[in-house]
Amino acid sequence: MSDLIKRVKAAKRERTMQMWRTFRANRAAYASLYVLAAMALMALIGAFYTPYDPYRIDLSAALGFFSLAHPLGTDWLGRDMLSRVMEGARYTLGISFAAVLLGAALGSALGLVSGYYGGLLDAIIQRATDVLLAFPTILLAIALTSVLGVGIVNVVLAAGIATVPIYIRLVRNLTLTLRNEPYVEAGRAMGLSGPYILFRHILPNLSYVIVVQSTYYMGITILIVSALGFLGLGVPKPIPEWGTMIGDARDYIFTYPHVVLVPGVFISAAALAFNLLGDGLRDALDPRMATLLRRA
Amino acid sequence: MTLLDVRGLTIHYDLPQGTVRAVEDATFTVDRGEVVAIIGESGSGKTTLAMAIAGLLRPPGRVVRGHIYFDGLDLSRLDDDKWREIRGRDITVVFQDPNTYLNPLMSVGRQVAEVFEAHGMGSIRSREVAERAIEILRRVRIQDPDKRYWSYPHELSGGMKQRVLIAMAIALKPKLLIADEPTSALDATIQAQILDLLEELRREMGMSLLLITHDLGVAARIAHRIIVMYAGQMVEVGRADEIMSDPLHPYTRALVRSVKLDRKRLLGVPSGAPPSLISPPPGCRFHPRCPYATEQCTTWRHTLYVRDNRRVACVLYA
Repeated sequence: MSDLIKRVKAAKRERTMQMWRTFRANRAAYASLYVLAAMALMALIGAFYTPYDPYRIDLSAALGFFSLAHPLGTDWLGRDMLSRVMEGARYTLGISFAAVLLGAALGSALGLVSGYYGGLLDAIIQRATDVLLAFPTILLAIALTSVLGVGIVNVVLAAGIATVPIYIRLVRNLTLTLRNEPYVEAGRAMGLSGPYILFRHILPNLSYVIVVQSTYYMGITILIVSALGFLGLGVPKPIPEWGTMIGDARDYIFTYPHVVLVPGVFISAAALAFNLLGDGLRDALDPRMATLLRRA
Repeated sequence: MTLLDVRGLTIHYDLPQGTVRAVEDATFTVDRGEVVAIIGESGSGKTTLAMAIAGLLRPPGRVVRGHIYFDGLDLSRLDDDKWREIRGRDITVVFQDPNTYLNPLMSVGRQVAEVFEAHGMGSIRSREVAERAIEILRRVRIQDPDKRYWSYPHELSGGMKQRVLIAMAIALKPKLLIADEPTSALDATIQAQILDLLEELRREMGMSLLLITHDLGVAARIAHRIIVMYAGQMVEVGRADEIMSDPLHPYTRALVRSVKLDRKRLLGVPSGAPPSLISPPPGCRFHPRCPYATEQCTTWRHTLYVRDNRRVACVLYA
């Protein structure tokens, strides 16, 4: 029987490889993976080592353009931009990731329960969602920070909660469809319990949608977190969160544009990479789609 | 020995347009090891009847009157927890369309293994449960069951998927297997294989089989007894061979004739469609389509007359 286990494991590996091949066929998504891996690495290194102290002021080197000593130039206080971007990556990417995680977990849980059990609970959750959806996501995030106050944890909460209603809608709608799938009926005929069906049959069938959606939302959340920083409602000033950096440097936008452009390019690249990655994941994670592509 | 005893079962659907009388006064038994086929057109109430027996009737459907006794247990009085125990273990269902009744994101082997887990026989991840599931897959004649264990539904043919669904249904050696149009979505050649498999498994495991079908040919192939339903009512009950050779009710006669494909006599098959079950015709529900209808058919009250070992609901046999 150990032979059987081996064959079973080989079959599983083959399945994973298949997904990987489908993913790689999408060049843009594959490239995005490298871009994001580089950014993650940068954030990781930034926590331990930066070429200069990102907070050290050196007015003699102020507003320098790209050079060997300062590859990405210096800002108006002479702080090294590369060091600041490396330091800030941890904040921008980390906060966005935590916010998406929070929004996806909270929103999916509420959406699942709301869609599967229905009734009064569903009505209450949906009316609350209606109210929240009436506000644009960014406005909702701004409103939340003004209630919660400035600070890293509050940015996570604000950006996370701002996306919750969208997840609730998405997951609830899918749950409503999946609830009536014949295989859910078959599950009931086999004597499976409600929570079992919810987590074993319904959640896995919409999990890839949640993953893909969350990847797209990483891009959007990076923009929200940066916007909050830019407006001075996000991560407070000396910390070089990318949006905060742009907001801080806006006086120099016409005279020394690189001070604004450097963090801007990083924000755009990260947001774009997450969007492209989402496209690739969507194709790779749907097994039915994978078969279609392989045949094509 | 009686396993299933249905008495006076009446099921209504309360819709905004009115009450649909889907099943009226169904009364029959299924013995241990017996194959009973319920046959009728779409909308005759046969699937509703089957779902009620499996406890899967959903609102707006509700049992208005009657009882279902299974193995001495009154099923109409069970709570949800007890139902969950019985479903999948004592009573199981094989559904019509194998393409949609399997979870597309779970390997077919695990879906079989899940039945064991749901009934407290170990985790789906344990090797023991996996081995039992593979054994069941082998039992429904799936080639290379250990390899197929990790196949996903979209990688299998319709006939294979139906075998997987049958595997799920027989995993815990049920006493009663309800097969709701098990072959309707399959090719003719596969149909015969699946029917033979069901019959073989029934004989091996001594379970009873309640076969729901619109195809008299399917019923005749493996059923011991046949129940003919029309517009929510039972119109004839009897041994399969007797019904096939000597149908009594005009509706049954028409059905049997249509199967025998006799072109000239096919002309005698009544045209038209089954009546609306919200406002069925008065008297015998078949009389608008019946070639033998007389005045008294419009006032007749549905009764099953006993004739030899047959029951038939037609005034001709009163």
